Amino acid sequence: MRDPDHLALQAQAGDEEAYRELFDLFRPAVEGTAHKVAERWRRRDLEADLCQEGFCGLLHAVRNYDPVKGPFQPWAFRHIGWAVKSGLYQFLGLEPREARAVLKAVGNLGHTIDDTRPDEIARITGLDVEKVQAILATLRTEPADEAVELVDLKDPGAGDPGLLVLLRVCHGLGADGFKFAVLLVLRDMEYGWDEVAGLLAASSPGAWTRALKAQYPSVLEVFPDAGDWPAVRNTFRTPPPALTPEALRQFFCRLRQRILRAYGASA
Amino acid sequence: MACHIQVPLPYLPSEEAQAGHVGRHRNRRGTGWVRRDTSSRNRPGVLDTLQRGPWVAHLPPAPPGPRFGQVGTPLPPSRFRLRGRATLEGKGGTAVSTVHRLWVLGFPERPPDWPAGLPFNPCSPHSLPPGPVVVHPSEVAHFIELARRAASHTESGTLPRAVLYLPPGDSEPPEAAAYFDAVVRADETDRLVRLLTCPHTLSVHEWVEELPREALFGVLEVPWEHRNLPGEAREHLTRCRVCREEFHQALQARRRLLRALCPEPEALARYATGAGAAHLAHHVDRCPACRAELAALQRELGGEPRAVPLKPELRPLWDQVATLLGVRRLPPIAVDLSPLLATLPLAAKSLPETQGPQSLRAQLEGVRCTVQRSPEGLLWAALEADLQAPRKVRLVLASLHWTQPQEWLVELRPIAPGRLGATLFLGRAEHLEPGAALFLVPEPTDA
Repeated sequence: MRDPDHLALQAQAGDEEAYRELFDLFRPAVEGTAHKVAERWRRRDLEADLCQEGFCGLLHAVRNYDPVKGPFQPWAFRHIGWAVKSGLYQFLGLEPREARAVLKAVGNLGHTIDDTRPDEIARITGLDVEKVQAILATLRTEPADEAVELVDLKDPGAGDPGLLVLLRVCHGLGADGFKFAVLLVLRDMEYGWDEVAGLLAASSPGAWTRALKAQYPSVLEVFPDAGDWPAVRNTFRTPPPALTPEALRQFFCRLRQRILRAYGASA
Repeated sequence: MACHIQVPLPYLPSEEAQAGHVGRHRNRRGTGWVRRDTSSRNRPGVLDTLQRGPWVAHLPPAPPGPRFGQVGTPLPPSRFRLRGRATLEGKGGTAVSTVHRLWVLGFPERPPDWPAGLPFNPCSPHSLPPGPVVVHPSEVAHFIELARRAASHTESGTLPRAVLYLPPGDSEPPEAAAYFDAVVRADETDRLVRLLTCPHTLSVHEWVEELPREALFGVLEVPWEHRNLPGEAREHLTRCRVCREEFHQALQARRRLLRALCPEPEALARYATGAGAAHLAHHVDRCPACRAELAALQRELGGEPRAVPLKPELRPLWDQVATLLGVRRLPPIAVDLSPLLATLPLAAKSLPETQGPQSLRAQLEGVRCTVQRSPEGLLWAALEADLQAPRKVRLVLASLHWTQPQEWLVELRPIAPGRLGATLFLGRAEHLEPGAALFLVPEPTDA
């Protein structure tokens, strides 16, 4: 068995064998966590599904792993625990982020779910009182043991999809960030740089708005104007970049470095 | 010793050249110019190259006769010092300059922590010199103006190579991101030296952009040998350790950016169990990283159907349905039918629509539900259950804009030894809108 840190880096580079070894290595942790959470909430029927969530957490850990930030093993354990609990909240019909916020607030106040005040929790979490009441009601009605773990594991930063976080960083760069997001989508659609230059100069990618809505909804969420191709072209009328393949590539690479620096800091 | 200089690019005459400090010579193809700098403040005998630009039209015609650097013309090694052999690709390729010289702009004086081995040549405030420029934050606005002007005079419209130097306490101006290849803090002297020691290091990120997605993930042991890279870049990377290290960093950066666009692992897991959205098929087909993750998930999950949790987006719909039907508990199975109703979005290289998923599966408490879409667009629900499972199941088909959901009470009958089942026609897919969902609520035995 190879070193988990090395395996994680190999897996990041797309090595299937490394994924297989990592799954073997962390299977006891995934199954143990799923079993523990399912037992605690008396939902043994969900154990297999919580295992699935745990393996998804392991994949999140691989994707986000940065050896500079420490060894892989504790990083993976945190992600697995986080994902299993998120899965549980979802099975209970709750939005994991909101459930976490409520549980954390209850824990910080030193209260229990039964004796806490929804308005106080709402003030701390910024959620509506009705929403807090609904979350607390769900958590109360679930047949959990007395020893419900109120304070969640530390959030490993995988709350939002990576693309959404990245696009928010782009948004902070103004028009350049908008241009970068458009180029990012066009490149992901596998347009070559010469094709991108042609599209921005004189034509339109097929079914642009529909493709954005279906495949890149986060782009529309952060940049609502991105769905309007004439508006996109209008933004690109002002250089940089000039509408040549070389200039577009240079612009994209420079912005990529800047955005990944900020993205790394925020993740 | 013959020295072949492949520099097909012209030289922009600078103030120095106009003052007679710089000699101009045709390159070996006769398509551009090579400069021999003899000014006293610079190192003697260093050749500079520039990217292609329209300024060649402003240059006087080349004098007749062979010149240094032309094909077959030997260069006196004592007068020209070349750092390796490199060339510049033509239009559409990636530029690789031959000889390296460094300029600084906006520095009131040489910073105390400036690396000892790095030249510190202040450049003219009126035009940009040929080499990379290290810019002080106080002159960013001025540099942007000069860079724009320089880019507008080139055919490719590319901006000059530049590094932003951040003294302690300064931060990156957001509007400057497009104008710099790198940003270096004052205490990052090693990085500054690494970026500027080799003239090609600042181009490496653009080289990596030439690699196709397949080459980024685990296929090649030595990714810089990929044929998409310019030959000179491959050759240079084989020799230059500094650029190879930068190449690896650029590779990581590109991988990281691409992965941000990949579906979340949860979506891949749903896809692995047959409940993924249509566009995932297209993505997985072309993304080696997602294929590797999917293979791992499929091995682990065995492709077996799993319970589908009530996703937060389905909660309002269920609340509406529950009020209408007077049901209090959450449905054990909720199937979001959107993947069967949506059409595959068009992309540059999209797959035929027929390759999207045609069935969704979910299971819980011994009941399995498969919703299938026939080629004619008809939706069927097939239920299977163990003998221990409830014999009756209530199916509720709902959409946010319907005032009344459709409801069926289905009795499961033996379909094979030890198995119960039933099949139900749900309707035509075209009559449903994305966001429609099917909820299954097992009924008590005496219902």
